[in-house]
Amino acid sequence: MTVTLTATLATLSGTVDADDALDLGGWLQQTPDAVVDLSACTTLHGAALQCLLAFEPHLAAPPADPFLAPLLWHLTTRAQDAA
Amino acid sequence: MPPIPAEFDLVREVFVPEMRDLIDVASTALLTLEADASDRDAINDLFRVVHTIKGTAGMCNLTLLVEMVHSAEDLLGEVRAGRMALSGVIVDDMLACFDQISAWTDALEVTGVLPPDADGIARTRAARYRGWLAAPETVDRGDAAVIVGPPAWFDDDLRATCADYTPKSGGGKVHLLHYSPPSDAFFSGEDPMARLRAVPGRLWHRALPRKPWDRSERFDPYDCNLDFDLIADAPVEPLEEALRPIRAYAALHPLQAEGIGPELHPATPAPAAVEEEIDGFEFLTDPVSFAAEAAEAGRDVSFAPTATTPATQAPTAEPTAAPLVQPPANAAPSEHRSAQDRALKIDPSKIDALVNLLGELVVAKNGLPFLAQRADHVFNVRELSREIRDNYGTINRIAQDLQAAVMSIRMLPVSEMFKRFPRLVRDVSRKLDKAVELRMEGESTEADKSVIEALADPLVHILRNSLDHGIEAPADRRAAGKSETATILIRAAQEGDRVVIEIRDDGRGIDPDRMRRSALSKGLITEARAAEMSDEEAVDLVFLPGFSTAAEVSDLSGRGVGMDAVRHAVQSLGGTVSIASTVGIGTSVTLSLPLTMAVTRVMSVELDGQLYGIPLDEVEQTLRISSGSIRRIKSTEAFVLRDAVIPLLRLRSLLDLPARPRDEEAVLIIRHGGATVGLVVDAFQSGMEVILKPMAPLLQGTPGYAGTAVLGDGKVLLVLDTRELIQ
Repeated sequence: MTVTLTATLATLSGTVDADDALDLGGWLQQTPDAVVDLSACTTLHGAALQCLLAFEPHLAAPPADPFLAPLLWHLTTRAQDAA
Repeated sequence: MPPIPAEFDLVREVFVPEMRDLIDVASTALLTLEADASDRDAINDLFRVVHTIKGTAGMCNLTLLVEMVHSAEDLLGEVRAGRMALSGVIVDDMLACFDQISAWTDALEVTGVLPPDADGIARTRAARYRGWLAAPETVDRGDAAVIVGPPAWFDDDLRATCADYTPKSGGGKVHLLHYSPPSDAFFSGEDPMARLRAVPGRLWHRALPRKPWDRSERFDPYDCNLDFDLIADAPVEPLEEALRPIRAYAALHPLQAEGIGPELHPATPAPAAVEEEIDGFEFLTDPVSFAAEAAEAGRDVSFAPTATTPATQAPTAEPTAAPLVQPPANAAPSEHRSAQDRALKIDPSKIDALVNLLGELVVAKNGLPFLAQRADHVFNVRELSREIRDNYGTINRIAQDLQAAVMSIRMLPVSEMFKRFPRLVRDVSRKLDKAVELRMEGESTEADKSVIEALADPLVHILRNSLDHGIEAPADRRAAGKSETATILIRAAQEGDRVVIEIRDDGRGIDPDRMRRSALSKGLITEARAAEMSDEEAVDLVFLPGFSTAAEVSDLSGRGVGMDAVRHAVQSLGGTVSIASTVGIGTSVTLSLPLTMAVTRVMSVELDGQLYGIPLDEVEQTLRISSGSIRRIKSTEAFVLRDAVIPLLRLRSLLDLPARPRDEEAVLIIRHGGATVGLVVDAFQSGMEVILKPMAPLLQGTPGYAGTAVLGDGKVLLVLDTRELIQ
């Protein structure tokens, strides 16, 4: 399991694949103030990406991966705005 | 094994005939679907046919077509999945797509290549269909033929980003990639993220939702709603290589100082306008096409012989093409492949050859009675003469059966001609804002191919007239207490050896008084004639040459041809046309035509030692009258037959032969339109069946002759066109 879900924090690490997207999507939908930590995430499946883009959680940390970072950049700035 | 045909031949021998049939099927299915969106068969048919069009185009290396049809297919996929409603505008768009393919098919048949502007058209069309998928509200809802601007995904941000990354000079190495995975991409194992990660030379990329996110309970992480844009600094080949599996959903556009592809041109009026400079971009080069796509597509999509073609319609694919006809690999479920799949496609020219041979057989057969006569009279062997006659009887029967068999090959159901009407009625009624339901009956009625072909234009004209002038606007219909939706009924039936087609509408009908006034004001009839005219005769005035005038010309039914052209066309086929109308109730036009034109029964007559044929269906009776009973009325002659005065014409004078009055004249009574005319000939001869051939090209201008036929003794029979002669 590369997705760890707690009350308001989701930690995504390593490879997040298509199967993880179902859990992630369901969790995001039920968690209005969700915060997601992507710093250790190296590979994100498209289905998981669209969960994040759809529900726009705050990003505790942007992904370090240069391919993922630009896709989620706007969520990072949002998090900073909120802070 | 036959040699593999060159691409050129492939296009003409496979693509062109295939396409004509496919497009017909597709248009029909689309219209059925528009009328009843829940018709699963229609959507499946449509989907399958569009898929086959794509496959055939791919096989023939027509990449442009593949791309356009592919986008249309995506659109249909959404409709089939119930995610998108099939609006009238989308139907217009799809029909325009089929029309375009049809036009290109014609061009391909003549030149073997697509016209130079095809590239731009295909791309703008494809962009338009993708536009419907991405954001239907951004698609221009006006005239479907208008070429739309850049697709919705090419937004201002992207435009600016492209400008930033465009090399200032030379190169051609930087490319913009737009990748729009299908919504079920995840289920086929595709991960767009992994795909794009593998693209070489990535400079910039983004992911945007195609449709606004659905954050409700229905949110489905596996319903792909993402579009990707990516800018890469890499040559075409490695990019194509990386994108090969998704080529159908991805488009590459080179970013060059000189410009980017025409598809991204802001509101291009025409693809040819490439030299304009807008926003610092100049649009010169084409987007990179996937050269290998066509070949691939040809392999992975099905190519089934079409199911719906009557045997005689399309030229056959020559045997050289046969190895390419493979069983479908994936699509086209077997239940669609009806028995008609196994029907032969026969080149019409081969049927014509058969008809010609049959004609020669009839001629040779007709020689036998002459021979029997000679055996009897010249050689005095009565026994032999009788045997020849017996043999003749047998051969005659076989020849007649053979004739029936050959003629039945040439017979086509009238649905061949009817199938274009739903589209016509739909387009015209939409244009006129009228609600019209078209009903067709007796589509399986058969008639000779030549009759069907010749009838199509007159029928289209009658239909247009009905739509334009007959059917009222919905508001008027409501005011008149009718249902807002008008009904046009086209009914075909066989009556004896004729096919009768009726076009009936429930429109406003033709007002005989208006007809009288109109004809009077145009100087077509005299006041006295107008006054004595019955209502039926007044309605019949629509057939008068010159009646349909500029005042009534619209782009629909006008165009300078009136109902007189219809009557002329039908009469030249040996048919009749009549009209009946009741004000406020509707109008009915009835055409009656011979089922087949290939074999004509003629009455032969003698004139100055020469034989002439007169079509038997025009001859009412033959009689002999004494010269004493012929009356002279001024310069014309007439005689009385059953209390009617019948004008008498002499065939000799009509054909400029020296007159030869006799005590007893042989007269043919001929029906001519509504009137009856007596025609004086030298002598009657036997009736016979002949294969009528048109006059040789040099003589075609000669008025008064319908054609020629060869007789059993080798002589040529001139068959007269009595209508022309008498006029």
